Amino acid sequence: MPAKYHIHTRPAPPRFKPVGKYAIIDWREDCSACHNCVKRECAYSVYNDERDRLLQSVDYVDYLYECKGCLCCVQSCTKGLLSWQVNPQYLALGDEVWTADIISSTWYQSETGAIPVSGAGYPGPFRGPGFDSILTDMSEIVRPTRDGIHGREYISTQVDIGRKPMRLSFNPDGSLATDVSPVIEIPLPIIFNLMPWHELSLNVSRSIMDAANELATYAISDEPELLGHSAAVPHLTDRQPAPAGRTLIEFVDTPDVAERIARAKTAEPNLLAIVKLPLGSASIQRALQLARQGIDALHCYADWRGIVQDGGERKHITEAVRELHLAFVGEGIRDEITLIASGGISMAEHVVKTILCGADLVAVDVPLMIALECRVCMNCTEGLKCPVKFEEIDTDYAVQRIVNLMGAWHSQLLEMMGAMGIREARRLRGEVGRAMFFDDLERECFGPIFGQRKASAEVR
Amino acid sequence: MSSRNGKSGVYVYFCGNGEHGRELPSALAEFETKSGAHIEAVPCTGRIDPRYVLKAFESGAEAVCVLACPTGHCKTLQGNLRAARRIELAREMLAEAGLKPDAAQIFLPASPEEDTLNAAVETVARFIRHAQQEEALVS
Repeated sequence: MPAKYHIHTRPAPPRFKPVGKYAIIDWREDCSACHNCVKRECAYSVYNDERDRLLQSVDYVDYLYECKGCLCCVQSCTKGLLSWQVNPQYLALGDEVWTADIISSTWYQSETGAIPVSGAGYPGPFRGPGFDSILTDMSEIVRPTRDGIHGREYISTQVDIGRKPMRLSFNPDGSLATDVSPVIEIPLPIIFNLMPWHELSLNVSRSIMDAANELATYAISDEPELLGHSAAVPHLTDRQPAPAGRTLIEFVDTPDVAERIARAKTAEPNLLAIVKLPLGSASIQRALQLARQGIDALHCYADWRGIVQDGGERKHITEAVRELHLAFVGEGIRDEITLIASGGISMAEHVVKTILCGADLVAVDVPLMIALECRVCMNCTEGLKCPVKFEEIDTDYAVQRIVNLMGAWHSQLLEMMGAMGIREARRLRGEVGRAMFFDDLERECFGPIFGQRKASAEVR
Repeated sequence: MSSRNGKSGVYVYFCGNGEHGRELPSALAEFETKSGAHIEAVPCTGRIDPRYVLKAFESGAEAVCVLACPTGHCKTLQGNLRAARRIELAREMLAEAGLKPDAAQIFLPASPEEDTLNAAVETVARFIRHAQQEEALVS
């Protein structure tokens, strides 16, 4: 049995105090000093920590928002002296896609490398737009042997990049007649993408490469000084020549891209070529054409919020990936191409859901920046000062934060795949039998009884 | 002038959940850049505790100012009133310790009807100017 893929996480404290969510307001003047004060019972020791920190020389407001929101103290105080407030700064973080909760949970995962657990349970709606409209079928969650994280079963997250033959043929002497293309195996169905709007210093770009190297995956880069890095996937625009000695290169789609790739493969026979193509129904024919021309992989992308502008229609990346995947299946050539999807993937569950919709693997971008404490404030796009001083980031810190995030995501992939009864990330691709699409279910189950959902009642 | 991170030793805390929405925080953020004071939103001024004020002085603050919501307009009903009592207590403790009690102040705008935003920022500005002048005299 091969050695298990393991990501070595270790605590990587933030450089800046993370924006906390909850605070407790205390009418301490009315306190009766009960002997069984609820503050002593806090499961997270928030009150004890506050008292202890007051004795140390730290900024004294650091613990204003340490509360985890379990509400035990608020509910149990016999005099009702405690109340609960949400930090307005927290609510102002991010936007409707990159929500404050996603940003905060990404910070936590990058700091600890652990799966985030909510102290107050899941307070959100049953469904939502985008990724939240897909439910995974965790029908095997009760099986006791599905414990991939703890070791009795092996759950593989390895995926391949490259063409696979649809069938094998053999010579009369029994030798293989099919020309088998080179394939690159990566132990995680995630590569790192170019950043959509961050201006990265060379130091941060190098940290992303180093983290990719440590994780045994790849990072797409257009930084000339880093194209020789062992984890780099050079991103080439239409005029750049292919660098020598690389086995994985991403090309921007141009009318002559197939010829450019053929020339590059003549010089480097083991080269795997990825073509970057926007998602949408207009690109499907082009994608099929590229696959027939022998392209190894397609990097199909939505915008950084996961939205595809398809003609006049807005689609989510999951819908667009599903359409593309089904187009390849319909043509009978799905295995002849690797689909890499990117855009709006902000959580580990989004990786699984994108693969369920038909991608082989995903490319992530903004979560890597959030791992380095980005607040998605967009100040950098307006030339304003970065609140977390990206320009001063240290390489060791950055590498460990990214490795921690991927470690936490990997653990969640194992949890989800174990619960779905899937032991191979390659088998997850397009496995819609393990997913429930809420809109489809609603249309098929409730539609015949109640009719179509009215637009005004749509959950947004 | 004592300073940390190149800022002056004046600390201003204001209620981040007040009726001003996001206007006051952004106005104060601009003001923070100009004045060099530490300006921070708290979930309710009722979260302020005398221990925190004393800790601020211990951590190097020259003056602490709390900008509370107008009377009758606190979202937690009495946070601003309790903050006023606590600041009063902190002032007594400062006096006992031989420090200037006026270094800790709380401002409760008279009513939300008046031009609260400008008045609040102007009040804080006056306080900071005064505190910084005193700092300069001492040093």
